[in-house]
Amino acid sequence: MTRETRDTLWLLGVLAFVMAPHAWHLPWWSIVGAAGALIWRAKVAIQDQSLPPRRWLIYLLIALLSMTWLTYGTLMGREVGITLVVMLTTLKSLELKARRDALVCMYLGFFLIFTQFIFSQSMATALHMLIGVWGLLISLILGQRPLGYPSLSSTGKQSARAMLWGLPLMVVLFLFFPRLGPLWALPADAAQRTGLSDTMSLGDVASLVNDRSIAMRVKFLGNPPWPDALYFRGPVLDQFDGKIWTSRPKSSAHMDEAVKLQGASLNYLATIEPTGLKILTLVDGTTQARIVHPISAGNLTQQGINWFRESPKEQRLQVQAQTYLARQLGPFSDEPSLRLLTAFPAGSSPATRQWAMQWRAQLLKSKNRPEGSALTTPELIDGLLDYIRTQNYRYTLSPGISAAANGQAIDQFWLTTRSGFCEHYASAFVALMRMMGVPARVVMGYRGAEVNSVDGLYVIRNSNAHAWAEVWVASKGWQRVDPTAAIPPHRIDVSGLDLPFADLAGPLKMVDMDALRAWRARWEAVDHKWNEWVLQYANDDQMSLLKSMGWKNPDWLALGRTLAGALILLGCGNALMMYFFHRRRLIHSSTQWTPLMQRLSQALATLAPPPPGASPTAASTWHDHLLRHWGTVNSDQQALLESLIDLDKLRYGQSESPKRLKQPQRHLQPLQMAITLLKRIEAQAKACRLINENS
Amino acid sequence: MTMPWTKLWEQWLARRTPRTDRLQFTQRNVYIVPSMGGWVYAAAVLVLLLAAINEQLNLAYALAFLLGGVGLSSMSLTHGNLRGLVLTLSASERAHAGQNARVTVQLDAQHLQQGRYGLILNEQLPCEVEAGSISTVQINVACKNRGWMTLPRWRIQTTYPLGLFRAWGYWRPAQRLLIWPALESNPPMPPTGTGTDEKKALQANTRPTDTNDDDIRAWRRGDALHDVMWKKSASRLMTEQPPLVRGRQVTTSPPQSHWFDWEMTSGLSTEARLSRLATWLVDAEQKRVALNNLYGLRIPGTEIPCSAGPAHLALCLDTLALWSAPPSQRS
Repeated sequence: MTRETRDTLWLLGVLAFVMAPHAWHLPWWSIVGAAGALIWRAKVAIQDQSLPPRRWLIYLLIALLSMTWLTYGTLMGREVGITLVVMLTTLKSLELKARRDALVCMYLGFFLIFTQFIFSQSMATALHMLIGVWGLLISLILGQRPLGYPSLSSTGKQSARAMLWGLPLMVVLFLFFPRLGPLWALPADAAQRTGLSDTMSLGDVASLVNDRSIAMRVKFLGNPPWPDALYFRGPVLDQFDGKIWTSRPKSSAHMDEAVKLQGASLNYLATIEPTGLKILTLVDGTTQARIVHPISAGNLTQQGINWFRESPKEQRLQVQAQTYLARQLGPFSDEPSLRLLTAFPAGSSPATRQWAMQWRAQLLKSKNRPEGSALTTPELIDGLLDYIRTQNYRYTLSPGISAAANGQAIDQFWLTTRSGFCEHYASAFVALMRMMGVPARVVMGYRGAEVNSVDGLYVIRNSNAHAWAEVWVASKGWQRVDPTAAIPPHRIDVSGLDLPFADLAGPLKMVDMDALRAWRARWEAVDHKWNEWVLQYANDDQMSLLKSMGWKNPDWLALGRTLAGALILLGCGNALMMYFFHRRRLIHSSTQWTPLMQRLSQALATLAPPPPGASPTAASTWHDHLLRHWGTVNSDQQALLESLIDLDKLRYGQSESPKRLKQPQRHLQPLQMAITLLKRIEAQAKACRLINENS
Repeated sequence: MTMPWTKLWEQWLARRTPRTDRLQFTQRNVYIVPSMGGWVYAAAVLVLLLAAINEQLNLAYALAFLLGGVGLSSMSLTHGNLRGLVLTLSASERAHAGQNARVTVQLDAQHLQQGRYGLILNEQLPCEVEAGSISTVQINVACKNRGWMTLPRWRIQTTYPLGLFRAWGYWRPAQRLLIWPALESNPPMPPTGTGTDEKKALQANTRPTDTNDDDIRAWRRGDALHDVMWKKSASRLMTEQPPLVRGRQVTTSPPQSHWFDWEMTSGLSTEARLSRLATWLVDAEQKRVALNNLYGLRIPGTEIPCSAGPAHLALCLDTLALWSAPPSQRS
């Protein structure tokens, strides 16, 4: 492989490496196009063909722009920009000829690395992109070393060295560079996030149950509650069209709901992963909350015990909040608006409606009450839960409700299959309550948490997604009813539920699950620290850092001063290091030979006039000169000449092996030997001179 | 107005770079500025920083700062790529005026832990040296006038490793080159009569062997490869005949002495005369083996007795190179 081929392939490889994660979120044609262009260019490099003519590239560019337009309907925006950067980089690689083209490719590569961070800032991405930077720097270095065939390992070392040297500066800038708000707004792309949605049709949550990614983490300050008893309140769904539960535009949850605080308060810190929801899934009963990170995310708005942010954004939020787990949620007296929450589409689920009427009559009878008298809401709730408990209702993730039955799904579930999961139960329960004239609504959110054994954080995964019912009870307000919890354990079928690590293959199944769980806990604890320390580091962290450094009232000016001071310190440190390195280098420098050679010339000048020209730099010059001067040599002179050759050997002989330079002290050895040798030469020269004088 | 400033500048530069045959680059004689590529890089990093601010991504900040740090640290690395390097001038070949003299420069990194790469010597010569070794570069220096020539100021520069900064140092070698008088391209033959008849000697003393056409004969075992006349032999080689070689005349008689005298070149300017003499001398040395000649040089103030060989030629040419008219000639 020629040098040029190898360098080109390296650059193409690094670009492909840096682009690879984009494959998950770019349109298919751009992935195919990018891969095709890179492979084409690699083929050109390997087979030493000529590059495609410029005309072709222009056609390709036009095709690219029109495809982008067709896909997105615009040439602006973030995702469009990323698609364009990827495509332009690969197109540029197709006209990679001069060093300048390679430079453009490398700089585009840096932008590609940047675009990855829009999608993920995980540790894995950071490491991936760090390797990408390293690879691009290697390309940059290769371009500066035109001679020979420099090995990738030596350039790799050089690249790592450059990054290592840059590291202190990066740390100082990261810590102290003032964090500003966004300079201009980009059109926000619709977030495609997994996680809770703000509507519910039967079958939605099932897909979430096997999604083990983390939805949020909670750190309780004070007595932590029992994790299984925790409900995290998400969208409140109070409108049903026979198929889908939705929130009323001005839903009951948006009314000013009276909250009666009861019991002890509990403070906590929640870190919420990016979601597509405006509502924050905080602990049920949260009465106070504010965003701690990032400040720029703005304020939260409160509606009862529901909390909303200004707009859903690709941001991880840290929220400080206070909850009363035993809260009561009003209204406590019957209001006309509550009647809206008994509405049920007339034609929907007629069989269930009929069943409800019969069941209520039976319940009346069983309580020995006269026909036509009223049952209290708690009686209805208990009766229905009891019905679920005693009848053959099952919990399963594959309830087998056909899509054709969509409009009559509740009928099919409640009367026929009698198996389903939380949202079937919640939706049927709320439907039945409404049919019997009781205000009720569905609440979605998360239930339960896993306590990380390493950092003690409560981890809530998407698999914790849950749906339950809220029923209005006179003078008590909204009561949480979880019909799924009424199913006795022996009727819970977990076959459709992936156990943690169930996707591990063969022999790995033998691995101790507890050990795996412990490792996962460790990893997630590290990941949380990464989020907390690196990704969430913001202006207020800078200020508290300054405070800990001794500034009394840190502000922007203090930040600037600290930054300047740190940079000056870095510069001085660098200068000092250079000074010491440089001095050490001089000690071992070959300049040490200069005085030795001068001494040699002095000693030998007594035997013959020095050779013309500048003072000889090598002993061999003297050797040749003396030989010429003497013509024939006797044994003494011969010994002197041999010593001169030895001296040169000491100086130049081993120079082929740079290894001896690895240890500086070993480098001194030839010099010291040379000094001994020089003394011998001086003695030999004296002997020769004496013979000359005598003869 | 600019003249005095330029002169002052040159004087200052000359003071900063004393002439030496052995130069070590140190903190004091390496200069560094950002290169064009460096400015572009800085612009790219700035754009990345703006994007990081706008997207509020901490890892993007980190990327911009890392690249900024790498860029700035490459200033040290580029400077370090020259610092410590030792340049040594080896003895240089002599040349005639109008020709290029080849000067050999040694890049010495024996005492260094890191190689020195991507160096550009004298604006066009790329070179590098591995750690712990020496590498040699040859520079062609144009020679204009005969006599001693001081070498020009050379610049050695590098943009290694990242091409973001350009570091350079100047070197003014102390060694002077002795330039011989220019050679004439088509000189007339030296007038005969002062020595023995050249033509006659040639006819009498050479024994052309196996000649078909002047000196050309068929190849025989033992003939040197460089005597083969490949172009003329092409057609013979096709028919598997032995190639033609340039026949060497073997001289048998004692050598003939030949004098080149200043007076032989009368009618020309001084420099032209020196050139003519130098051309004859070189010519005579080239034909020495064929003609078995000795030659001597007679110019005002100096006489070099007849002899032959490269050292003798060099002595003659050196004398010509350094000759200046004695007072009596100057009228």
